[in-house]
Amino acid sequence: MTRTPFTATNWSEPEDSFSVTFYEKYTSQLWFPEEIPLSNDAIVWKSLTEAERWTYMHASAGLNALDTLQGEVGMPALRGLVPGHIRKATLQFQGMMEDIHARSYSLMNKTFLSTTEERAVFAWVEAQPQLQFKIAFIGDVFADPDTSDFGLWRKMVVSCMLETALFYSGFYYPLLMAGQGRMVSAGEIFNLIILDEAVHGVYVALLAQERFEALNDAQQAEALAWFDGALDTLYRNELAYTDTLYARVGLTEDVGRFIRFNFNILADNLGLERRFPDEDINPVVLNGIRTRGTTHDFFSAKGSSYAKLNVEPLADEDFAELWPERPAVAHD
Amino acid sequence: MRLVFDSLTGNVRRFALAVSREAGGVPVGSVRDAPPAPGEPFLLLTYTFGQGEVPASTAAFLRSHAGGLRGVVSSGSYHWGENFGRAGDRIASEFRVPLVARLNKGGTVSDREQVTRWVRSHLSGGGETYGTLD
Ligand SMILES: Cc1cc2nc3c(=O)[nH]c(=O)nc-3n(C[C@H](O)[C@H](O)[C@H](O)COP(=O)(O)O)c2cc1C
Ligand SMILES: [Fe+2]
Ligand SMILES: [Fe+2]
Repeated sequence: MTRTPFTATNWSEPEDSFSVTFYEKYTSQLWFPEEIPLSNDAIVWKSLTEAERWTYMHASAGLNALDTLQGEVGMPALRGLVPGHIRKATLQFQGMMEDIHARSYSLMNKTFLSTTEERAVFAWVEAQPQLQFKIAFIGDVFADPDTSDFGLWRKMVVSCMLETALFYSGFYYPLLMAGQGRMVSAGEIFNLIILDEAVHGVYVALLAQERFEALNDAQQAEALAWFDGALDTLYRNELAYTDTLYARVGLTEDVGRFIRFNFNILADNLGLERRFPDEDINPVVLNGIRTRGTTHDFFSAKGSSYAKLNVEPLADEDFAELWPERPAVAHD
Repeated sequence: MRLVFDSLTGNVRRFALAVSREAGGVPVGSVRDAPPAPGEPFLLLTYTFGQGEVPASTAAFLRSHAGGLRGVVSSGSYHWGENFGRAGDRIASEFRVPLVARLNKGGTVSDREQVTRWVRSHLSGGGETYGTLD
């Protein structure tokens, strides 16, 4: 019996036109949570109300579980099934970042919480029904033995659902706080994570689009029906999860809007129709996303940009002028 | 007037096709396979890549076809902060054309309506009124 010879990775002749760009993007934005000191936030933390602290720490703990799932199960599953050395390397880099994200959440807990509180939060993760449902639903798709184009597409889609939509119930609160000038160093960590996830979501969705193109018309119709069902199930679960996390700080509705907004971005990435009508999202949260991406210079100022931030708290009203109804449109 | 788009993951392509339809079937093609005739006026729709950069394929296209460029629409994503949709600012200032719209990913319904209005107002000669964003 002859073996297929094992080949080396040829970066001079990549298997597609985009993976190298993504790989280079990841290496250029590699970061570690240790580079962002949290000591200022530790003082702010004590000034938060009980309810604010509860929401913040449980939102992060939920994200920790989801990143652990991506790093340990999701990315390795895709990496195993997607052909191509460069693609595998790129997916592995993503998987490594997921582990770094999970560690970031844990380091934040360690900084802000007592050991007893920390243990209670980890116990909450194990017992939280919507969080466990989400993980089980997605874990089942990753574990599904169907590795046809359709099977692989489904695995990529649930990966993208995490990256682009389901993380955002957790991201909302740190973004809101950072937009208000509170917990800004932790906010910097969240922004680094969000930027990573934004690119992961685009990359895996590109691979998914290829698999979708490979399906025949009947299979595509079946795939779309599956997508609608999965989205509906996970969206409803997400609203219930959101209520658990945010009811005590009165933000359930606003987070719901943010989740729908991000499900629409998911559809954009996958090349599918947006599932929800356009809605404006909270401008303070948007500001939390938009003003950071560039205050952080990945090459030279890693982790120091937080010191330059103006920490005067912002309120929704402050944005009335800055953000007319449609922030996405340029006013030249 | 025609629409010329560049798109990696499909957002700009979908947006351009929708605008073409909504503007009553304005000709549309990608930078790769449907270059405008020399001097033929066109709206360029592209995305932002790297760190606020114009994609290489768009830059290559503009090197030989900038003559008919009348305006630019750029897509990007909010996550890139000040570099959000920056490719459009770069092209607008280099070629002195208006940035007609900046889209977050695939853009909203009102983005489409706005660009469609702009395209309609530039069909058949009415070419002097651009640059007005509501
Ligand atoms: C590697 C990479 C770099 C990007 N850089 C930027 C950027 O600097 N600014 C921005 O606004 N968007 C950036 N984006 C987001 C894309 O511009 C956005 O997803 C756009 O909608 C893509 O258009 P397309 O789907 O037509 O290819 C980047 C995306 C990727 C994958
Ligand atoms: Fe992650
Ligand atoms: Fe990720």
